[in-house]
Amino acid sequence: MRHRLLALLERIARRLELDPHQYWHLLRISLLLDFRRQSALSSGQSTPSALLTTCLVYGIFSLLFALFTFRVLDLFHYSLIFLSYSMLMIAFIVLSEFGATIVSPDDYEILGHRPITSRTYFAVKLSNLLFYILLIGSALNVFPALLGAFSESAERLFPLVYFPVALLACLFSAMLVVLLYGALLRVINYEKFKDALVYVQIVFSFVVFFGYQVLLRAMPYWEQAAQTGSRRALLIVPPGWFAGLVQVGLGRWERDFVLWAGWGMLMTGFLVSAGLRSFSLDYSLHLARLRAATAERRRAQPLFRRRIARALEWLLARSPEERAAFYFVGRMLRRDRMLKLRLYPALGFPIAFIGLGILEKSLTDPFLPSKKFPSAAFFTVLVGPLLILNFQALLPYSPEHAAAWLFRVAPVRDLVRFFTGVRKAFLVSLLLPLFLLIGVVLSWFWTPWHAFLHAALGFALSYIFLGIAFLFYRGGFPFSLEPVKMTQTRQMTLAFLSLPLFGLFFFLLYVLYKHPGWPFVAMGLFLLLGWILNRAADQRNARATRIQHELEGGLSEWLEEPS
Amino acid sequence: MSGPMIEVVNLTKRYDGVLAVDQISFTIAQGEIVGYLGPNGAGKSTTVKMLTGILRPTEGTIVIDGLDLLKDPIEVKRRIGYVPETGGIYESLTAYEYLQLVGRLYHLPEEVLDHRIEEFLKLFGLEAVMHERLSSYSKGMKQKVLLSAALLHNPKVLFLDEPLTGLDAHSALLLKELLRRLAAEGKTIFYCSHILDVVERTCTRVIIIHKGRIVADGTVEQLKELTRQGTLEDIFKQLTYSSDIEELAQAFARSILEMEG
Repeated sequence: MRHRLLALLERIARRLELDPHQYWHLLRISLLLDFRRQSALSSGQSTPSALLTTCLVYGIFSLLFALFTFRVLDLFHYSLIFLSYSMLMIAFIVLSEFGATIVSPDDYEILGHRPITSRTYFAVKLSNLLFYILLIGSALNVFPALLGAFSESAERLFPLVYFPVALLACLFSAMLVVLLYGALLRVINYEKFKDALVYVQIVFSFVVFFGYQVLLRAMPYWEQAAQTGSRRALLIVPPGWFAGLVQVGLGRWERDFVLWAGWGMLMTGFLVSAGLRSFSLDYSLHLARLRAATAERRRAQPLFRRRIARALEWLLARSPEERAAFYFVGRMLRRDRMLKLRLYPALGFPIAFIGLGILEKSLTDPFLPSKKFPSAAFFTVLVGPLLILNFQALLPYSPEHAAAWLFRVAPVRDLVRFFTGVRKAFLVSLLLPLFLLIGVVLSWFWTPWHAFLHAALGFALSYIFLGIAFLFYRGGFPFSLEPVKMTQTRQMTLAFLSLPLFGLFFFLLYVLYKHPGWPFVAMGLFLLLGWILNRAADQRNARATRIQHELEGGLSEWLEEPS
Repeated sequence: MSGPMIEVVNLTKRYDGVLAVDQISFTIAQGEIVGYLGPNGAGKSTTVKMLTGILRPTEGTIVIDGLDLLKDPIEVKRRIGYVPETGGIYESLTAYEYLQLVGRLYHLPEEVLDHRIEEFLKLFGLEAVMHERLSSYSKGMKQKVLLSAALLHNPKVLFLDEPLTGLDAHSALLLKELLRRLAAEGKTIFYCSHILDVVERTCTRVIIIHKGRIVADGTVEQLKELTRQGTLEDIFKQLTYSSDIEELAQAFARSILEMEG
C-alpha cells in the first residue's frame, strides 16, 4: 500500500516535471543550511535560534492581543482582525526576509550547471519558504485560535476551524508576494528589479504601518455595516474572504459568508495554479537572466556637489578614522538596499500619524492649552527612536560583509573616533533632515516656532536614545556580518519590546510643554546628556570591538589556511 | 572517432546592450584538452557559463555530445562537469555532505557515491577533514572539493574555469597529470585560464579570445609559427595588448615611488 502510494506520488511529481529524489535532497540541504547559518551566527552565545525567538515573540504578541479582544468582539470580527494581522505580518516578513529565498541568483551559481529542472528548483525554494511561513503563521494564530473557543459566542469548534483557515490565509499572503516577485522579474533586469523591490517593499511597509491604524479605526464602521447588512465591501479585502470561510466552517451558511468563502477559495486556487505555473516553468531562465544582468552605470556626481560633500565631511569629522566611518556609513545609508528596505519604512510612521491627525482633527499644537492629549504630535516624533532601533539592529549586517576584512587589516588606531563617525553619519544623513522635515510639515498646522521647537525636542530626545541604543550594540564593525534569515526580524522585534520606554518620554515632553521656558532648559540638558551617553557608547563599542577582534585571533580568520 | 564533442556556432552574448561574446564558433573533438585564453573581461567566463547552461546565449547554438544545450539542457548537464572560478560551494556543509548532495543530484547509487567520495577525498588528501565544514577550508582545499564534485559523476566533458586557483604545487601537478589521463581516456576538457605556461604545457590546442571574439585558434606550435613568436606569452601579448606592457609597468612603479618620496 505504502509503495503504491509512493509510486503514485512519484508519477504525479514526474508529470509536473518535478524530480522527487532531487527535490527531497535539495530541500533537506536548504533547511540544514539555514539552520547552520543561524547557529553559526549565534555560536558562543546563549541566544536560541532566531526563528524560535521570532515565533515566541509573535506568539506572545498575538496572545496579548487575543486576551484584549476575545471577550469583546464577536467571532466574525475577531477572526477578521487576527487574519488581517497575520496576513499583513506574513506579507511583510516574506518581503523583507525571504526575497533572497525566492529570487537569488547566487544559489543558481552553485546549482545552475546541475541537471535540475526549473520546476524542481522552484519547488524547493517555495517549500523552504512555506516551512517558515507555516511555523510563523502557527505562532501568530495558535493563541487566537484557542482563546476564540472561549469568546462571547463560545464556539468549541472554533480552534479546529480557524487554525487551518489562518494557515491558508498566510499561504495566500505569501503566494501573493511571490507572484509579485515573478511579475517584477519578467519586466526588468536584476539591478532594476532589486531597486523596484526595495521601493515596493517600502510602500508595502507604509501600508503595514498605516494598515494597523486604519484597521483599528475601521472596526466600528464594519460592525455598523454588519448590523445594517451591507457587508459586500469585504469582497475586496482578502482577510474578509477567510473570515467568511471560518464562519462557513462553523456551520453559519449565511449568503454573505458563503460568497466570501467561495470567492476566497477561488482566488487562492487561481493564485496557486495559474500564477505559479507560469513562474515555475521559466524560473531557471529568470535566474540566469538575473545572473547575467550587469549593474547600470551611474553617472558621477558633479564636481561642485562632490566638493560640498567633501567640505561637509571635513567639517563634521575631524580625524581620518571618523571621516572614513562617516563616509562609509553615509554612502551605505544611501546605497545599501537591505538597509534602505529595513530602515525607510519607519518613515511611514510620521506620515501615518500626521495623516490620521489631520483626518481625526487631533493634530493639535501641544504648546497650546487643550483638554485632549495631543497624541498625534507625540507619535510623530517617535520616528526618531524607531529609526534608531532599526539602525542599531541592522548595522552589523550586509550582503557585502566579506569586505569587512578591511577594518581588521587597516591600522585603525582610534576606534572611539571610528564609532563616532558611524553615529554622526546616521545623525547627519537621516535623523537631522527628518526632524527638519517634520518641523516644516508641522509648520503648516501650528505656529512655525512651535513646530520647530517640537521637532528640535524630538531630535534631542532621539539623540539621547541613540546613545542608549548604542550602549547595547554588540555588532562590532559595521556591515561585517552575513545577513541570516529571521535574525534581523528577531533583533528588531526584541528592540520593539523597549517601546514602553517611549511612554516615559511622552510624559516628560507633555509636562515640559505646560511650562513656558522649560523646553529650552530641557533641550540643553537633553543634548548634554545625549553627548555623554553617545561618548560612553563609542568608548564601550571601541573596547568591545577590540576585545572581539583579539578573541577572534586578529587576522587568522582571513588567512587562507584553516584556522 | 564520431562527430565533435562540443560544437559552438555563432555564439553571442549581450548584457544590456554590451557585447560580451561576439559570434564565436569552434568545434572540439573527444579527448582534446583545449585552453581558452584571454585578458580580463574578454568573455572567457561568459563563454564557459553559456556552455554549462548557467547563462542563456543571446544568439547561437551549442551542441554537446550530439545534444542541443538549449533544447535539452538537463540531458546535456548530466554529461558535463564544471569547476567555477569563484564561489560555487555551500560553506555551511562539510565536504562529505556537499559531495553527497552533488552525487544525489546526479542520481548516483548510494554505495557507488560513498565509495567515490572517499576515493576522491583521499586522492586530494582531504579524508581527515571530510567531516569538517567547508567554511574552515582554505581556498585550495575548497578548490579540491569543487574538482571532486565536477568529476564525481564521471562526465564526458569537463569545463574548468581557473582550476589551479589556490592549489599548492603538489595538487597542481596532480591535477595536470589527472587532466592528461582523463583526456587519454576520451574525456573532453575545456580549460579556461590566465596562466599561460600551464596551458602551454597541458593543452593540446589553444583558443585565444579578445574583446568577445576569437583571435587565434590552433596548437601552440601552429600559433608560434603563425605569429612568429617564441612563447605562448609572446603570442598572447601580441594578440591582446595594444600598448607596451613594459612601459605601462614602469610608469606605474614611478607613480608609487613618487607618492612615497
